[in-house]
Amino acid sequence: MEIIKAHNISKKYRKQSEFALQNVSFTVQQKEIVGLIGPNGAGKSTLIKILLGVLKPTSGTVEVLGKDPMQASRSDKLKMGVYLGGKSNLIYHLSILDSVKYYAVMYEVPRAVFTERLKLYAQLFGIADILSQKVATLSLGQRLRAELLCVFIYNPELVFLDEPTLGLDIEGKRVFRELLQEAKNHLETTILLTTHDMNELEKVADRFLLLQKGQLVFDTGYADLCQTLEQHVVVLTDVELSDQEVVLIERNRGLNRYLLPASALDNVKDQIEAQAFTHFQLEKATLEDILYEFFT
Amino acid sequence: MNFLLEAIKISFKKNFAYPLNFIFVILDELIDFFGVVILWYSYMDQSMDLQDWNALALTNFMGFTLISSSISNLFVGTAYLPDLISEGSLDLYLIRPYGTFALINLERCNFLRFVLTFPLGLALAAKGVHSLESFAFYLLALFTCITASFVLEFMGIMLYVFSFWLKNSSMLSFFFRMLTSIRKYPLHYITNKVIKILLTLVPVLFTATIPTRIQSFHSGIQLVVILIGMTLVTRYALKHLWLKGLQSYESAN
Repeated sequence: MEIIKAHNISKKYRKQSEFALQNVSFTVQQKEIVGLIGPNGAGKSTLIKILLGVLKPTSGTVEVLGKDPMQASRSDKLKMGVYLGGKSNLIYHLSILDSVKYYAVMYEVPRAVFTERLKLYAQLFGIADILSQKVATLSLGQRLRAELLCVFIYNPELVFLDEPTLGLDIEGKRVFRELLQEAKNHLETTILLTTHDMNELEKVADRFLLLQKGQLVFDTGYADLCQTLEQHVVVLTDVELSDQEVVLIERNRGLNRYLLPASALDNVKDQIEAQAFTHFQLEKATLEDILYEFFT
Repeated sequence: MNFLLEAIKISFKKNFAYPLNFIFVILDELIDFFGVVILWYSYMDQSMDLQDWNALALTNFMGFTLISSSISNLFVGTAYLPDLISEGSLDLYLIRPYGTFALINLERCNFLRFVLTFPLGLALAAKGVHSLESFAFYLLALFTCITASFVLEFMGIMLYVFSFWLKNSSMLSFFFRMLTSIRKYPLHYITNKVIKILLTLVPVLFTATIPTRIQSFHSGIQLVVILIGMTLVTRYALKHLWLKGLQSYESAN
């Protein structure tokens, strides 16, 4: 079942000469975790806001949960969870528990269900011990966990997460990934998340949408992505390569990181051996390597 | 209803988040109230001319101003609307399953202040009620005061809504607040027709002066019809202005 249907969405802000989004079309199926990526200014936030019904597209049609989001009713909004990076849901001078209760009541979670769910999710997020702590005294990582608890406490059908892992430590990110998997497996929650952390995204998303300058340039599922990754390889070496098929990703500590098709590896090896190299290392290609060219 | 109760509970809790907070809130309201009482007692003591208004009418008047300002306390959140619009933070309210104005106000108003001032206002406004007939006038006066206070706040919100088009309508709102602050003074002595019309259309006169005339002198009742008309017009205008504003809203990039 399609939870989101976007067809030829374009958006031009009044005070800008260029389109923020141009003819973007895609669908999101129920229970999918979709990663929306792109450089700064690509149009990710604009797209999220159109899907939320906050902004009206200049042209094109969009349906979320079967409706135009601009016409979303109260019962439609009860099914949606949102965390917009940088815009807190928490009540600053009160405890985490007060904030969570506030949203539980707002989204009509029955009391008995709330108690059970709070116990489960607070453990999962690793904040069960600090529920009575004031939000003002929390660290950034703790605050982000509390924000996510406020979103998931009412088990929304569709969740939008805008940069949710910003500021989380390694453990926090692991917990976040587990929660997403839990949401996907048990709650029939569909998740659309934006992030700059492509390593993170690679581990959780079922699909990857890449926006660049307002256009959707990349729409691929996890299986296809794996295939693409297998067809590429990364070479770390201290020599300069000039092959057309070779893309320089990064220079770091005297080493060059190159992305190349697996079929070109032998050729590249020959080139490296022909030069006085001191370092040669092969790595698996990652999502970040594959998408690098779209960010430059 | 559950959500309204939860929001009120949160509002009360915020007052007790830090030890001295609620004490200062109470002190603030007491100082405000006694400041007005001292003003009018000094006035009466000096035997200054209040036309036909006596001590009882003044007491009723103080009651209605308290009721009106306690209702204004409930709308303190909408003063943040220009900032929410310009910063793009309005998004968070638009996606919620409750009315935007209700949410913005429920998150920011201090119900403790309302609880302190509204019952006191009711009691002062009711002073002098001694029969069924006078009680009926009291109810009509109360209706006038409460309705006018809401209409005044809706008009203020309409000015804030202009932030969708103007970069910042805070100055307009500031001017409006200055104008409406004169409701805490008896305005029955104004003779200038232009000013009287202005203070009727912007229903400042209806918040305390006219309710006092209804309650204490049983006069001015026919003016309530004007207030009902203004309520309908304001409600309609605000709704349409808000919807137009939302269509032009572009959040913050």
